[in-house]
Amino acid sequence: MLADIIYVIIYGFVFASLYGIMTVGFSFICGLGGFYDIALPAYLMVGAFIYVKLSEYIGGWALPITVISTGIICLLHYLVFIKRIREDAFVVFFATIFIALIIQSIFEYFFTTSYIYNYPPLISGHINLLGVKLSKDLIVGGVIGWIALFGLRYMTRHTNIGRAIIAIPQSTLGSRIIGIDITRIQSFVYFLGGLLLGTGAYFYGGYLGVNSHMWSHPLIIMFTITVAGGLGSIDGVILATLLIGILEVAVVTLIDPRLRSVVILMVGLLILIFKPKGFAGKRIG
Amino acid sequence: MTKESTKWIIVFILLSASTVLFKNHLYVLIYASFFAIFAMSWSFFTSFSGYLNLGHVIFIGIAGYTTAIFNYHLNFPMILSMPIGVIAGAGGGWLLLNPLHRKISGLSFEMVTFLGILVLSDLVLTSYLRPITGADLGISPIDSLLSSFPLIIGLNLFMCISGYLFVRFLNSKHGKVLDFARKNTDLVKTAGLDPHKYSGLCLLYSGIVGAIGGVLYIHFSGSAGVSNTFSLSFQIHMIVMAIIGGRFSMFGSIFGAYFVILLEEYLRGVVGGPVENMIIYSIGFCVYFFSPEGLFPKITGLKKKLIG
Repeated sequence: MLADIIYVIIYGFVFASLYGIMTVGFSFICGLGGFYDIALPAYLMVGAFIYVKLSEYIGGWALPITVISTGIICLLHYLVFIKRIREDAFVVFFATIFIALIIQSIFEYFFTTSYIYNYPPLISGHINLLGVKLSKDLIVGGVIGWIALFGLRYMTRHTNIGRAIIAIPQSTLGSRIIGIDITRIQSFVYFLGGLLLGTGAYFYGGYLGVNSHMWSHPLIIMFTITVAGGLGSIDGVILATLLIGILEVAVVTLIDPRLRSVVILMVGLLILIFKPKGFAGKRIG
Repeated sequence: MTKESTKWIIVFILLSASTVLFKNHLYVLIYASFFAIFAMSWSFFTSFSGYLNLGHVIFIGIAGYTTAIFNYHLNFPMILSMPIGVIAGAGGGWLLLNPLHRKISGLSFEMVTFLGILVLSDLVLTSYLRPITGADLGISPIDSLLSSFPLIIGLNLFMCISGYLFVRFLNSKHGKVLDFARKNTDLVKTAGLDPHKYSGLCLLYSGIVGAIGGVLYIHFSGSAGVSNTFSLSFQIHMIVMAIIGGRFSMFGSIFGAYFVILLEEYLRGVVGGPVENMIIYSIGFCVYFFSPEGLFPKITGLKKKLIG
């Protein structure tokens, strides 16, 4: 039993950091805009497929290209689509559902619906931590994740752009009055969110495999963490990502792997109903 | 006879005439009528109450699984299991969604209903419920409604009567309050009225029509599974239809359902599944992005311009 608990805590921390990388951009984007952009998890899938195809030719160099391309794709997504419709949260929601489904259909056409692509980790081998066998690649992912989360936390407190990211959700009008360029900040956050999604895509796809439906589970994870954490709150995301990461590993390890999604969804549902502002006390719209 | 009822009679006659003209495609037209009922009932609550309900399939799913369980496991005849399904679907769905829409609004309601159907579909699929729901295999075979003229005439009649009653509701005093509440909830509250009472009523009517459509659809399909009840793609399918047709008009939803089902049928013979979906979703996206009111109001507007 003690071994199981250690396993849950270690893997929970590692998964929490990966989910954190994937979610923090989503949370900032939703908090800034006051809408849910459902297409973002689909760009995680795009990033994973970019890595799958590029790594066949250029090996590990595919990772930085994947990260930068996903950032650029997310930025273009904002400039081409979201910027025009950002004032209406319902329109953004529906339009991004369509975008996500179109992306899924394109990948189904080119990569089939059932085949799962796997790729070797950039850092091979395992280490034994308190009796728990961990892949070195996953540990690096976990460390990068936590550095990114705390780096963003530092940025939001000690830089002007970071303060603007926090200020805009509090009052869009007030932010405009004091001279914050909302389009510029949103473009930056989309690009940053895209870089993080690209990073998350490599680790998530490497661990669970890449296929044309792989965006649906990250959507649930990203949404639940964002709701639980409170929109646009980095502290909330860190807390929620730990809760969801450890909970997911605990359910898979101690209860039943088949209940993984149900439990996470139930947590998201209950938080939305009973604590709609999340841990950080912020609410969309 | 009012102008509104005349319109619905004309729609009924046109749809019925199309079944005679295209009798070789009866099966497709029946599907279109089912989805027209679903899209219209979804649109009725979502468009006019201001609550974006992504969990309309809860009504259809509970109704469908209930009739299937009574018919398959308890050997109830279809004529008895269907009313039980409608009561369970409309009542159960309403009991779940009505308190929620009172407690939360805006995007939170949208996301709760979205997560709600994911939870329900996951629960139905878990092997713990396999003896009852059949998990991924579903409940099959159940008594079936055959593809026939009486079925499609009955469906079209039900669709037109429901559409007419929806419009009557929207034009009534209740509908006016609902419209005011959608635009300014505080104003309605200041007048001493409970806006949720009216939106709750709207939800119930939408649920009853959805549940009746649900039990008929399940028996027409001959099985109850997640794909034809609680699935997200099933929900998105009816939303796409309502959006393409025009979600603020009952005729728009019917037009959207027929347009999408007939287009899918045509594309199925020409291109594969993913391309077919890609084209439908792209049309949905373009319509929503460039003309959020939908195609039907555009077409009627164009007709008015041309005829004068």
